[in-house]
Amino acid sequence: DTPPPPQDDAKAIHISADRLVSESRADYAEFTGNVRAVGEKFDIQADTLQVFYSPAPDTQAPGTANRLDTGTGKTVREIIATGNVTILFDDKVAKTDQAVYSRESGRVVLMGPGSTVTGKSGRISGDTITLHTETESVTVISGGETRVQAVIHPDGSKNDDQTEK
Amino acid sequence: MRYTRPISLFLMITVFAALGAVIYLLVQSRPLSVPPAATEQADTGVDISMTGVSQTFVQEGRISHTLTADTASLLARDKKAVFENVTLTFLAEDGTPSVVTAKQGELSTETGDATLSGGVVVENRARKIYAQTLHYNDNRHILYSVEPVVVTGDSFRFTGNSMTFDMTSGKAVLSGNVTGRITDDALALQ
Repeated sequence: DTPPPPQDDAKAIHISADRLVSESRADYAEFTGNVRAVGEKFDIQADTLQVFYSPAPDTQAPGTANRLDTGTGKTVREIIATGNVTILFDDKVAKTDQAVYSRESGRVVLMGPGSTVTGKSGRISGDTITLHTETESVTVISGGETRVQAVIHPDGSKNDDQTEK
Repeated sequence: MRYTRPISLFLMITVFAALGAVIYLLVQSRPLSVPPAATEQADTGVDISMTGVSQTFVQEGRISHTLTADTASLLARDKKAVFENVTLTFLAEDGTPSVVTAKQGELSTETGDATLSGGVVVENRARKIYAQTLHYNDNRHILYSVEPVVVTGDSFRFTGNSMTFDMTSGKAVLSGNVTGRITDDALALQ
């Protein structure tokens, strides 16, 4: 009995790490140590990546084509990247202590003082930054001690680094 | 005439002695006709060989695992049993079965530890684990590999340099150069 060969699947998320802990009954898997997760439209690097499943009883029902079945009839409910998190997406770079992706809301929430999202059109930073993947909008909240900061390059020409010097 | 009787007696004794010597030599040089299998068995140290083996292991009043195999050979001197085409079924605390199959299995009759080799596969509801060799530690009730393994599910596949699998909790830890993929529509962040 030999393992099935890896399949080439554009939608697949390719993950590498030092360690993977999987609890089959606890609906949970954790990648630790130099974690990198590369998807079709994003590239996440972090110290830890946790994948939480939700037992979806109807995943076996017909018509649940878009469900994500992780081999257990479950779907990925939430993914949490923690520690030195860098996310590359849509020619932007997000940096934060912790990023939480929720499948249900379709949002990615960056949490931690000094979280930043940098792109051609500028840079924003705050304690909590929410990326709305459906609407491609961004919400920034400060934690009270520090203010929300935004540097906008209207014509998108200047590089953000230049403005910081 | 006086001498002919002792001479003929002497000659008769000599002939019988010679005949006896020849028979003795013949008997000594003839190999013992012993069935080859038995000889072979004596050399390999196998004490008992069985076919169609089935055994149940109970720990703390609960069936912890069962074993079936095509053949089993008990080597008392080496304190081990060797199995061909072996299937081990482990039952987690909640009764979830994990089935381990392998071409060969070696079980220590002293510790209960085992080594499985030859296309080893561990399968339960959540995943399948492939390895060339897996070890079972009875004391800690874990399976572990010190060689690369592959872990697959319906839409994930990961490889790692080594692995431990706790048969009681169902927790699997893959370590060292872990790489692989999750097929994920949701994570594509459409």
